[in-house]
Amino acid sequence: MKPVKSTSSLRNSLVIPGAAIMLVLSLGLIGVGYWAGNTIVNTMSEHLIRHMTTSIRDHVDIMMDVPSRMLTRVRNAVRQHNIALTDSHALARELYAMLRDEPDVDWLYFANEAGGIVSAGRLENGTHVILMTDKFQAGVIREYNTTFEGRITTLRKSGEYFDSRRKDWYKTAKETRSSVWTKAYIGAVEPILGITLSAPVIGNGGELVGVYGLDLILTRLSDFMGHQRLGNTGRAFIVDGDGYLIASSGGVLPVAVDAKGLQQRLRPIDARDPVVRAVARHVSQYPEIVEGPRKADMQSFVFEDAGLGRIAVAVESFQIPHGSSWLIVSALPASNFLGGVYKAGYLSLGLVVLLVLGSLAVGFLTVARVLRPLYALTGASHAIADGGWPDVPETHRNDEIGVLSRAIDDMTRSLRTAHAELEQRVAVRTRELSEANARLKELDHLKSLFIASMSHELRTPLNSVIGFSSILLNEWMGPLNTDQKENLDIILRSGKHLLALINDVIDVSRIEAGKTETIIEDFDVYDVIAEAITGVEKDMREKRLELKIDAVHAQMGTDRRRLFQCVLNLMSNAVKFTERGSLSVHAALDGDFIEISVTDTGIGMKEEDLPQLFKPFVRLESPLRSKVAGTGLGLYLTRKLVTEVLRGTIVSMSSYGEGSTFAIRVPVRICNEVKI
Amino acid sequence: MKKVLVIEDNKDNLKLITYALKRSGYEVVAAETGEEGIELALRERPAFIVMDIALPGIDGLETTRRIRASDINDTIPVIAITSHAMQGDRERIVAAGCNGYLEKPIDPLTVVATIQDILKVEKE
Repeated sequence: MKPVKSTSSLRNSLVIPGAAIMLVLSLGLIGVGYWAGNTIVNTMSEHLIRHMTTSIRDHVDIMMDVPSRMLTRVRNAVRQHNIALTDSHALARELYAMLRDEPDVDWLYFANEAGGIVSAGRLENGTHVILMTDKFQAGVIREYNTTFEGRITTLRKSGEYFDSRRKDWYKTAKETRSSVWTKAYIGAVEPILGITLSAPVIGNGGELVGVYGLDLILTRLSDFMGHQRLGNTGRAFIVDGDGYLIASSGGVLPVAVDAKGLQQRLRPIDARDPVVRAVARHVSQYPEIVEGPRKADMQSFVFEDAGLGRIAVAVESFQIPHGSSWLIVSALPASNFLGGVYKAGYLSLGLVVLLVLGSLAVGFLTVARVLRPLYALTGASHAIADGGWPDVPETHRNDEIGVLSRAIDDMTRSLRTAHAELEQRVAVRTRELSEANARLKELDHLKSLFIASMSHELRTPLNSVIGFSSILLNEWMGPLNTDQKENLDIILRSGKHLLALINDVIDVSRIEAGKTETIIEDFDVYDVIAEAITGVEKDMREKRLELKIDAVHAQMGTDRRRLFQCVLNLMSNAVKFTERGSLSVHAALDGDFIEISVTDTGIGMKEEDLPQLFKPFVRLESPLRSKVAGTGLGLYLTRKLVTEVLRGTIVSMSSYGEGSTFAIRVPVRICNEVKI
Repeated sequence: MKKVLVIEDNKDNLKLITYALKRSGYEVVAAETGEEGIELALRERPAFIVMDIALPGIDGLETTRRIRASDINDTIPVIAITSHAMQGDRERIVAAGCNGYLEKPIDPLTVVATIQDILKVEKE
């Protein structure tokens, strides 16, 4: 048996689908994680920037509220202490006392219509000073040291000419008659951004007496903003109504020094920080963004920057009391957190690759470990199929393979047992058969002996019957009358018929017993045909039948006597069943065969009778049957001789009433070695 | 008159052959066994012998061999009579020293002509 090869690999079908499912699931999980991360980042970013904006607004709110209340307190204190607004020294003491208690305000002052000013201030190093113009009117401004009570002691330095009436804060307060915040400005002394709150004092007659002023240094706001953190790259900044930076987180200064050494206020679009710049750029492209917050509450949106990716922005407008409105902006690039999300994604992807490779490796190893014993089992099965009885491997295992192996082992054992039983049975049967066969052969031999001796015994008296009736019929013993002759003729004819019958029986029994010896001679087929014609010549003459011969001369090496017997038989049959017409004998070579046919114009045969033709002891119904002598063995014997001795074929064709053709086709030469 | 020795145990056959031979002018000496045949052959010196193969005691072949073995009779033609010649018998008959054979049944009308044919071939 041929080993059956598998066309599809169990290994692949077991491992690859699992790995594929794992891959798809893992990629799905990564996608979900990425999506969740994005969503979380978006939500968180919005919350963060909103929270940041709100807290900045609250801070600014408080920061701006303090100065207003301070100015009110100063006015109230001056009034309570009956300090004349013309007494610059007294005013200085009040202002100084108020300033000292308020760390968030650095300069507090009062200016009058004469252009003079008195001011209490705190320098950057913490030293408190008092500034005054001489005679409390427009003139040189001088800086004095002060005592703890606010009394001036020594002159620190003299400044430039000063006229308060020219100052914007003074003029605005005077014009509006209400307290007002100035625009932010760069300090005269230090490169710091400040803002001034001024409040007019109206006399009883409605005239302007003077203006209180207060400087708020926005550096503090910047400090506060600087401490607010929005991740690593998130920024919060404040822009005033003119579009300049007020303060910003992330170390972005609202003031820059230009090439000429002059200090300039910065617009956010000129800031160094890329996030601030990106937001400013976006806002400059879409000015409607800042229009909304001026009217309504905080607004937040997300935009995509070419360089920084997605940036979430919250914008809130802050209305300064008695002043313009500021925009508080918080911006947070998504990359700040998404970096982590992406990193986690890449890490997951790497892990998935490792996982898939690992599972493939483990899968293949496992399957290989499972398949190796299967291969061994397959080999054993093939060996069993080929008729061997191999030891089935893997039977010691405790797993399913072991169960399978033991099952195959059991199967093999029972097969082996069955096989052995079968062989034993076959041996017994074979012995019985050969015994029976031997008995049959013995019986057959006995039959042959019986027929041989019987035929001999039958023929001996028959020879006498034929011989003596022949002598009598030929009147050797004296003349006979007609009746005597007729009776003797019947005896002679019957004797000859009986003898032919016996001879045919002997031939048939010999062939059937395989006892025929084939005697091979070299001869010319033409001579055999001529000799056979001689045998029927007398009868043909009596019936006046025409003879047509078309035969070749061909050397043959076969059993001459048997061939002669066959040809003679066919010709004698033809003559017997033909009353008039002709007899044609035809012989021709066809390769290594010779074809001899005998055609007559006799009574022919019915088609339905043809199958009966070559059977023993069958004589077809015919009008001539009773007239023609025959044993019923002639064609049977001829067929036996043609097929079994001469190793050829015989066929017959006939049309009823018109004649028959019998043709034999035998090898020109046969070998002697093959015994029939 | 030519003398012929016929060795044949079957009396009917012997009679048949004797009729045929005598009718053709031969003088017939008959023997029923091989031994008797050999004795007659030596004594009577026939022109030829007609010998049945199937004889009781020593058979016709052995009888022929013995006649051939005797110096005087080695040239006497021996014509065997066989029953429906078995294949292979012919070789044995020739090997035993017979000059030809007749097949049973003996046709009294043709047997003498057949014998004369065999003798004629033998002479040539």
